[in-house]
Amino acid sequence: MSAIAATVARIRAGTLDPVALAETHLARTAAGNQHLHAMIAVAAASLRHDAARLRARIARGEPAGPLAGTIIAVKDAFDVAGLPTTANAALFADAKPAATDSASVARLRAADALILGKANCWEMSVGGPSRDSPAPPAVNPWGEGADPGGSSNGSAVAVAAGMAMAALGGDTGGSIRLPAAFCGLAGFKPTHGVVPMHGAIPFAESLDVIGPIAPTAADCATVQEVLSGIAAHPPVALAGLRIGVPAALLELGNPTAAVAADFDAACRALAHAGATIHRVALPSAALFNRCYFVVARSEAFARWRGVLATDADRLNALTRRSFAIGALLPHSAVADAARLRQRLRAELAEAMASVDILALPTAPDEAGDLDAADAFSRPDTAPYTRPFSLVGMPAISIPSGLGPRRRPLGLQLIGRHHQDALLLAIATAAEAVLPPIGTPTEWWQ
Amino acid sequence: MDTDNTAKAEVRTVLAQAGIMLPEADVAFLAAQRVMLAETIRTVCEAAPRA
Repeated sequence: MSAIAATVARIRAGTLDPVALAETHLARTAAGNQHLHAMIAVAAASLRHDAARLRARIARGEPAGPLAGTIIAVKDAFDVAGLPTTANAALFADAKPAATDSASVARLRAADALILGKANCWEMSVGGPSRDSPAPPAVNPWGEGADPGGSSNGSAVAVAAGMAMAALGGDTGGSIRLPAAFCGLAGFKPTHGVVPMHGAIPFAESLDVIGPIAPTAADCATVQEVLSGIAAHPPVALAGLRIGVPAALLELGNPTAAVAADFDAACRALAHAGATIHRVALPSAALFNRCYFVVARSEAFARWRGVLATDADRLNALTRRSFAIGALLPHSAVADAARLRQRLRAELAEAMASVDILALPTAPDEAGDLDAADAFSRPDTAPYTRPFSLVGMPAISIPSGLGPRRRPLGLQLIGRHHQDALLLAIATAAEAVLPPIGTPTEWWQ
Repeated sequence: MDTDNTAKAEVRTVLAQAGIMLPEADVAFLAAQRVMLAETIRTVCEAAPRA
């Protein structure tokens, strides 16, 4: 049972007060947010109100949902009723409070989750660290001045700092998996289309997904069951599991020695538990991220060109440039990328024919520093996460170790399309055999 | 220098066709990406399957 499920069980049984739990998380948020900038808006009043209503319902003996009392932060790219959705952009600084919840938040509320508020993110989910956006950059709890990655960085920071029990993030090319890895958490990118996107500010719609960030894969599974409406998979054993390593992709990402060693150690731990590790061929490995670049940039330009024409000065320079570069892609290249994408999808499916899942590091290095981050996205950015966004496959990052600067590293596991629940069960088994990385020193307290 | 100015003029033209005017620093930045863009486009186009 996940930690979240255990907490829900106590709340349902009446042995844990959801109001007290909410107050604890509000206190942590008040103490940490001024240093970590995880949350753009905290819905303290509605959180207290909803927690009190839940407590009263439980006291009356009424049934409570599968996320009863779970404190969840929501990336500020998804509508939460009563709060404006800004995507940390001046473009939406005057946005009115959303009238209704986005579809994903509505599913959480229907399961009796409690919404903490809106989490910080890179402006328009594009790139960061968004120094010239309305909210200051979120700070990684694992080190003062450490970059939490992005774009769903506030979501990860809120969980890592104990402000929320879980968070919703968005992932177009790694925006859930990378901040989760850098903050020592689990982050799950579902199969494209599994979680509804209604009420979310898009970046590139054929790539965008919504998924959970939480301390463990088991916690992600508990939240994802609600988000997707698909039952969790029963526990699985690692014995007999066939894990494929796409060696060409691994080498192309040029991992640091520390990441390479950590990945080797993770594979050995999985093998020690009975899994078998296989190199799998991916002849077109070098094409995935170039194809991704054309797809993502052309879609983003198509979606936001009107804003570039009328309100470009209300976007930061990085966002303007990231959207505008799509204008420089000829139509023929966009069409070619669409065809290539189908070929790459077939190639990856073939690579997985003889294995159950794939494994790679989540990132080629540990988290960097906020003041050193190179923000503009290029075809070689996020080399390990974008290929699986391009083809829409489910993927999860789980903590695998610490780098030379004592900042977390992530192991990424990738499943077949629509085998999300199985992948989460495998990741739950995997994290049990990987060394625990602990929690960050609370330097901000 | 002429090459840079030509690249910037091309960027301005493409953006103007979409009704977009960006600060000069953005135009220069985008123009500086032309080698990366050309390489990406060439690679994708050569690899795309043909019917």
